[in-house]
Parts: sequence; C-alpha cells; structure tokens
Amino acid sequence: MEIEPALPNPPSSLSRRLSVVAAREHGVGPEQLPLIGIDADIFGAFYREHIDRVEGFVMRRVGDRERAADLTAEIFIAAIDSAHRYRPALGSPRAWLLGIARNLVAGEWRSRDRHRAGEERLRGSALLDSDDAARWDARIDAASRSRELYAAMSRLPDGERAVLELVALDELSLAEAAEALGIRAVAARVRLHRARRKLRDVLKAPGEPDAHHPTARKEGRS
Amino acid sequence: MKRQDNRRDDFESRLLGQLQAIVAARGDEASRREAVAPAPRPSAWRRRAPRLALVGALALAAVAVALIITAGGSKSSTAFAVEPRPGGGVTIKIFSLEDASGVEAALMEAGIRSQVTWLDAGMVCKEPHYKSSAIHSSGGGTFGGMTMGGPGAITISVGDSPPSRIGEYKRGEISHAEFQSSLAERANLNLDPEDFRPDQTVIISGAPVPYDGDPEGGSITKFDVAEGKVEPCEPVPAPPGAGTNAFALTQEGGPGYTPRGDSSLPAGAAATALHRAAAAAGSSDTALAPPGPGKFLYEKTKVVELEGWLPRGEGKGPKDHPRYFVQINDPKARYALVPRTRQVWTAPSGKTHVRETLGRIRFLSTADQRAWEAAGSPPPWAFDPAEHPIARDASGRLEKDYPRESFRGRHEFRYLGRLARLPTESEVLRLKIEHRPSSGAPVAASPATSARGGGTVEGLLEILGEPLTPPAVRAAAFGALAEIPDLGFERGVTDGAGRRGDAIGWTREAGFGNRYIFDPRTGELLSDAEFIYDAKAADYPTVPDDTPFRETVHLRAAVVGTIR
Repeated sequence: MEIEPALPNPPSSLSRRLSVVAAREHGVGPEQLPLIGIDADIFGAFYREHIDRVEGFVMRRVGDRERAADLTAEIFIAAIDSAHRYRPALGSPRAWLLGIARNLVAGEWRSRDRHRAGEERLRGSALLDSDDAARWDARIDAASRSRELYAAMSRLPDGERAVLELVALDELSLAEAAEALGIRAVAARVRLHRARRKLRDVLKAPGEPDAHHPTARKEGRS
Repeated sequence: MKRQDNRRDDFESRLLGQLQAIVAARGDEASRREAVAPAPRPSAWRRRAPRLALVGALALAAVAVALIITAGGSKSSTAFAVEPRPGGGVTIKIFSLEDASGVEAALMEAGIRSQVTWLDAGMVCKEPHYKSSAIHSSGGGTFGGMTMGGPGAITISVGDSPPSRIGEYKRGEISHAEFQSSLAERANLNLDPEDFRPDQTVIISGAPVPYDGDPEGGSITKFDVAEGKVEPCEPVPAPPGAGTNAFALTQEGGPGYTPRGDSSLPAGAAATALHRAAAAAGSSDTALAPPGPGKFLYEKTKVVELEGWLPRGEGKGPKDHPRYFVQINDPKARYALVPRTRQVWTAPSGKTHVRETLGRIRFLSTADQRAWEAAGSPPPWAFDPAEHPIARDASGRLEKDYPRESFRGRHEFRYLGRLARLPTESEVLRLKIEHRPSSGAPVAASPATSARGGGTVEGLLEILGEPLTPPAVRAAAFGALAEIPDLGFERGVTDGAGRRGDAIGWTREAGFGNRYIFDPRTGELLSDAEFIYDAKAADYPTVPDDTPFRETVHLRAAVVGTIR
C-alpha cells in the first residue's frame, strides 16, 4: 500500500521545465498548485501572478507600511506551507490564496495591539528600502478610503462583511466573491444586500456628507 | 575572480528571492526523501502529457531543444566548446574571442537568441544600438546586464541553474564563504531560456585586455539584455577612461582582486604585524562558548553608513512623509555619515533582540550640517518616529528595540560551533578554506592578487570576524594571512570608534575598496569597512575621496544572562 508522502514528489527535469513554461503562460492551475511549496520556479510563476493582488488586498486593509510588508510575506509563506494540502474542490488558486490572505489580515485586524509572538522566518518589512517605502506609501495613501470602509465594515456580522469586502474593496464580481468564500452565489447576493443596507451611509461617494465616516489618519510630519 | 554587477532590484524581487530559497530548501528535502525511498510517479504526471500539445510554441521548442542536446554530442571549435549538462541544458566555454557567429549559433541551439561581437582591444560597440531591457530570472531578482573582466575562459550555462546551496547555508552546514564559492562555481552567466520573452536578445560584446604580461591574456566582456530590434554593432574606439572597468582592470593589465595598501612599507611589514596578532590571539584568555539555555550571545557594533540628505525630500513619498535620507547616490543629495549603535542579543533558539540607537549625524560639509540642523535635524527614515515605534534613550538619542530571528534561526549556534572544529594549524586551515587536500607536500599560498588568494583572505577574515572563534583558531587564521603574499597592508589606520590599528585592504569595484582593521597588539578585528577611495570612479562626485561607505565597528562580544 502506498503511503502518500507529505510533500509531493518532485517531477522529472524535462516535465518540470515544461510545466514551468505552462505556468508562466497560463498561470499556475489547480493541478500545479501543490507544487508551489517545493518547486521554486512554479512558485515564482505563482508569485508573479498574484503579488500585485495580494499587496493591494493588504494595503486596502492595513495602513502601516511595515505591517503590510510583513503580512504580504506571511501570506505567501502560509501559501507555501499549506500548498500540499490544496485540493481543487477548495476553489481556484486565486480564491484559495485570497482565503489565506483574509484569515491572516483578519487576525491582524482584530488583535492589532497584540505583539506578534512565535516564529517569524522572514520579516517582509526588512526587505523594504527607501525607494520601496516611497512607492508603497503612495499606494497605501491611495487606498485610505478603502481602509475607512474596511474599518466601518468591522461592525457587520462576519458573513455579510466578508462578501462586502470582496465586492466593495477588492472589486470581485459576486460570483468570484462567492467562490472565494466557498458559498453559493445566491447566499452571497443576500448577504451583500443586507451589508449594503446597513452601511448605506458609509458607502456614499466621497464628498457627500457622511455621518459614519471614521477618521483614521496617521500623524504626519510637516 | 570574476564579479557580477547586477542592477538594483526592489522589495518584490527581494521577497521573491527569499521565498524561493525557502521553497528550494523544501524541494531539496523532497528530493532527498525521494532518493532515499523513491515512489512511483503519481499518475497526475502522466495525465499531464496530453495537455502539452495545448501549450504554446515556446514549450514545444523547449522539448525539441532538450532532445537535440541529449541526443547529440558536444560541438566545439578551438575558440569555444559546448558541453551538455546532466539534466538538460549546456555549458558554453569561450576560450578565445573568436568565432562570434559560432557562439551565437550555439546559444540559439540552446534556446537563447543573442548578438555576439568580439572586438579588437580598446574598442566598444557604438551606443545605442539596442533598447535595454531586463529579464526576471527564476532564481529571483532581475538581471539587467553585467560587465566582467579577467583572465581565463568565459562560461555561460544555459538551462536549469544548478541547485542552490542556500538550504545548507541556512542550516549551518556550510559557511558563508563556502556558499559564496558555490555561487562562483556556477558559470559566469546563467541563462534560462524560459526567462526570456520572445522579443528579448542577449547582447554580448568583448575585447581583449592585457593581463599578467600577456597583451591579450584577459578580456572584458559586457552582457546586456535587449528588447525589440537590435542594430549591428559598429566598433568605435572606447572613450577615454573606459579602459578601467568595474574590476580595476587597467590597460596595463591587472587581476580581479587588487590589494590596496601602503606600497611604501617594507616587504615583510604585513607578515610581521599578522604574526604579532597571531601570538596575541593565541595567548588570549577570553574565549566565548555558545550560550546555554537562558543565556544570550551579546554583540555590540557601531555601524556607520554614508547617506544622502534631500532637504525637500524631492520626488519621494507623499507630501506629508518626505524622505529625508537616501542610500543611493543622488547628485542633489548632501552626504552625511550616519552612525548607529547596534546591540544584538541572540538566544540559543536563534531568536534575537535588537536595539539600535542613532548616533550623531555628521555631514561631510559644515554648511550642510548647519542646513540640516536648521531644518530641524530630521532623522533618517529608519529612525523616523512617524514611521516606526521609536523611543529615546537616557541621553535623548533615538532608539528602537525589536525582536528578530537570526539568519540561521535555531541552527545559528550549530554553525558558529563549527568554528571550534576548524584546524588550529595555519597551513592546514588555509588549505581547508581553499578546498584543497592538505596531505603531502606543503602548497604555497596563492598571492592576494589572485582569485584564489583573494578569496582565501576573505574567508580567513570572516573567521576572525565571528565572536565565537576560539583563540587557537584565531591564531591560525592570522598566521595563515601572514603567509599570503602581496596583501594590501596599511599601518596606523583609525576605525570608526577612534581606535588605531593596521589594515588589510583591496579594491572590489570602481572606486570602492574594502578595509579590515585589526589590532596586532591584541589580535582583535576592530572593524570592517567598505569605503570610497575614488569618488569620481565610484560615481559619487560630491563626496571626497576616502569616505567610508559602510563600516561595521566591533565593540564588544560576550555571553550574558539578560537583555538589558
């Protein structure tokens, strides 16, 4: 009886090279996703496919540059660690990665003041240089409205908040949001409707009078 | 040793590199497991075969290339040789700068489009003749081009890069010097056809240079990546000053490692000082053992870095967070030496606590100092209270504390413990660092001017820089250095803490030098520094010569019981 190893078998060199090319052309598909944890090239293709999306996801929720960089690294590390457990039934690779991102960022949000204990193999913030910092600050600044929304949404029940986040912040379609959350599209539509009704005021366009507008500005230097 | 002058990368590239190292280490582990207990290939891989037909032309070309290479023999002419590599790919060794079209054909067959031009000495291609581009390599990072020089064959490997040894390095199984030399054992240039877009071309141009008395004993070769149309190369004379390349290869000829010292000192001066240091180190009674449970290895250093101040934070950052200091060279920046005291407590688990305290920033010109003070003495970004949780110490200096993990994590002291098992006899130690067998007749030390000798010097200095190196090994390291001919040696050099000692130094790239300062009376390594000895060549035109670029001053190392 074969015992399935915890780590997938490394493929032969030729088939590996061809699958890398396939990954780069068409993206890392569900069949290849388990390999991102052991194959540096396939991981590289996966990373390039999703890094921008992950950074945007984090910056729309976290305004602190160093925490955002740390979270970005942690999300990919979590993906590397759990890739071998991925099954296509869990959703598309993109939805799967978004789920990881949500869990990590949500954990961060709820316990902002808690000192992050435990092993940190890699601190993303240590890799930022001053040019990166400038670039990230610009993006984080641009996402400040999203963070305000995110803060306002924290008052919603989990299920409704999750859908609204993905649709209003991350601009997924309802179908994509449903897939990311592992729920049926019908359920997603109902939750979204309820969430919007509760946050009707906050979702007004900028410039309109806004009673629920939370102020979350950092103290800056002039 | 040939050097690579890769372009700057960014956070995303650096993160990718780190993550791929983690994945590569896990992949190595998976391979090791398979080697021990190979399992039949899962059927998923066989299912993949029909999918290949749907993949683009590039993949099919890769299949075709793989078949040609493994089926055929090696193709060679007297100018270059092509050897297949196990697992696919080829290594092209270029012995002489002839038959450029043959090299192009060999690269094309391996899946790389190129333009190869061999020029006469003193000539370059008229620029611009292509649009510069970059490839994002699977090893992480970006490759935009490089220039290399030196004697010997130029090797280009095409295909999968050899497995990285970074896993072994992180687990403490090999030292930093061994890891670096594993990188050096790779070809001068590694190209993976899969990293290239269809519109990209490798541009290779080279010319002979004199070396070691032979008018064409060496070469300078430039590699670049182009996108789109590439015009033919039109040879023109190199502009004046271009005879010196990034590796201090001059028209008179010279090696990749150029020792830099005081040539007025008598011939045996370096050896005398180093033997003295060896005796002092060997008789030292301070020996540190790796910390046990509940204890920490404590290291205190002062790091002094050259940073440029941009008074208005021009062009960087949003308007309420101007970037005051930059670490790259910028003609508008005003330069200062930024010192910080760094204290690190490392637990046996590899977890560390770091405390950094910003010292007094000193501008290179008093006018700039006054301007900065008038602007409110804004601190560098790393110490900006608006960016980080910054406190002040008892003297009011900006200070930050944070936890970190050492590079090798829980393997940190396992690696440092290896130092205790190094040979304590100078010649044996030297040969071990050079990876040469030490039985039999004594082997003369390669001079510091050679790649091997220069690398040995670096390896020995690395050993001396570690706090846990036992006295007997330190003595052997100094003794080994004393036997290496042609060291760059200076007397009476002052380190960043004002202590005087002697120094071993060399040039690494245009305008930059390295200097290790040691105290022959005590056998301690005082500081290691990179400094700008020729500001114009280093492309820092507003900075005076002999400015430190980055100096790490070793202040104290001890085993302590608490973090305070």
